[in-house]
Amino acid sequence: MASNKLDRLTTEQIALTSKYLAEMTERFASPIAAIQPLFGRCCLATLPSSIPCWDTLTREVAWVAAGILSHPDPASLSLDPLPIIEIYTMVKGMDREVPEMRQILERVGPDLDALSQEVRSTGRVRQITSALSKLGFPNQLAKPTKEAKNLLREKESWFSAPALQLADLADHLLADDIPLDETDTKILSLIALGELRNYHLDIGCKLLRTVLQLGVPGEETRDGVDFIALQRRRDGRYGFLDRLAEKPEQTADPDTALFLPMTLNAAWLFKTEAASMAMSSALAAVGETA
Amino acid sequence: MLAETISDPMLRLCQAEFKCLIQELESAPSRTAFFDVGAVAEVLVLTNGIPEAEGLTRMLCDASARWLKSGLLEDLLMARVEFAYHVALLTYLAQSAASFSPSDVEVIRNLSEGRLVARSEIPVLRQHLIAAYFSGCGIHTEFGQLGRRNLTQIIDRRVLRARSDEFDLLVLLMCAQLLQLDRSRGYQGPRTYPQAQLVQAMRSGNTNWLPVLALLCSRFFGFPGHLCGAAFKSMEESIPAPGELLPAPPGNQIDSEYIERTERGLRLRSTIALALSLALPGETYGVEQVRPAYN
Repeated sequence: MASNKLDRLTTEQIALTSKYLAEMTERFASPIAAIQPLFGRCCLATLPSSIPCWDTLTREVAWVAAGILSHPDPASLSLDPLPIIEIYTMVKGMDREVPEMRQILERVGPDLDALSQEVRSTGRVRQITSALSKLGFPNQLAKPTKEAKNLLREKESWFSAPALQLADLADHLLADDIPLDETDTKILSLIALGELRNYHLDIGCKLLRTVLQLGVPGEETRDGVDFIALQRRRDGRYGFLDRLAEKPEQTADPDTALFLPMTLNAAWLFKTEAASMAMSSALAAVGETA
Repeated sequence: MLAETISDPMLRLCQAEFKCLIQELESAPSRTAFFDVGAVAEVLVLTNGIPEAEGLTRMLCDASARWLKSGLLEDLLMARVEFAYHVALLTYLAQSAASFSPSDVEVIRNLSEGRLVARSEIPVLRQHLIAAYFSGCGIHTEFGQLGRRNLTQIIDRRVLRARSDEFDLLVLLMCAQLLQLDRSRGYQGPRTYPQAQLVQAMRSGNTNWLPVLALLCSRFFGFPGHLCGAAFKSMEESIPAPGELLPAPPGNQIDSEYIERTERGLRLRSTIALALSLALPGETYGVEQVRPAYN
């Protein structure tokens, strides 16, 4: 299995995983439920080996956005703004504009303003606020909570912090673009590895994305990405079912319970890793020129 | 005569039973059903050229190919290391089925090459250790050429496996003994895996493993300051009441097929490691690794 390479997936593998995600979109047949698979396909489309497909993706993004806008009560959809912001960022990065998507994001700002100070101080909301500002939708970024500040400062407490607190920590780090030194990166990568070994994929992948984006990725970080890469199945999905568990996942729909979230996590992680490595290469090239 | 009166009906019975077993595994995979199929496969794989066994063998090969294609064998391979041998056997047999395609083994190949599955370092480590300890007593044990292995790579890749029980710690204990016995042979200590285990022990509140891992990291595998401080703090918080030993490791079974590891010994060894760490932090932590003579 390749490691430490920009090409985590071949062109054929990207196509197969995209096909799986597209099938998920068709299966749900609703613009709202289509956001997650579409987000995954956009992530895959940013990978160096992908075949350019941004015209198609942009059309689908517009369709999804139009579906949200035409909903009689969009607030009742409980949409997570982060994938929408991420999709919009990727589309913009390809020099494309989706006015319907822009319209949705313009609505998010006032919604954030209406939240209580306490909620606006949480990592998730701060990260959304920060990401919106970077896209040109300025909003005031609330200060982190006292508990979050303590956690950011006292790194020894990271070892015993529950997963929810660590997720909040990662959101704050991303919201404030706080660079992580080698030690911080190592600690968070080791914690991520432990979480991944216990199949706590969301928090494991989130910590890895955080260190790839803000830190100095090392061997432990690459091991974490390898862990996810090795969960790949022949049909492009990611994840292995525990068929012998007392409450097997297959009693629920295995796609929604395991394969789809894991595939999305994988696509997002590979995108972040590729961006991190491209950035390192660019910086190294600048260094050589200087 | 015997074939018609005894053997043929017996084989027909076995075919019917085996068919039920195959259906059972397909409809509701279980540990027992899988090991039952494995037991049958161990005999059938040896019956090449016996016409009477062809029906049963064909049934098994076809079923194996279906399980390979559907991903069942991959799921089982990832579930427990104990299944790896039978998964390998069934994968081998699946190749004889008409429906088999070489791409069916792609995922198992990746898992094996990525060292996620089918690796059991304990027999290798144990053989090395027996040879090393006997050799230290002047007893030269001939195991044949054990070969050189890069223990760093072998053991560090365990970090990619979704598993955590006494095997994990045992591998590190054995590896540390080898390092202590002879560094001159070029063994290198793993780093990522022991440190990841230490962090996980802290996070999961595994007070039994923590002092042992701290001892191993400090003396053999590297113990950076950020880990050392946090580990020490966690250990101080888990000191047992006077007269008590540390508890046994939580959850997982503590017996393995290789060596029996019962609660009393595990509690005692961890309490010793904790006591030493607390009594001699300056010597236990941050000292040069000891290197006793080893011939």
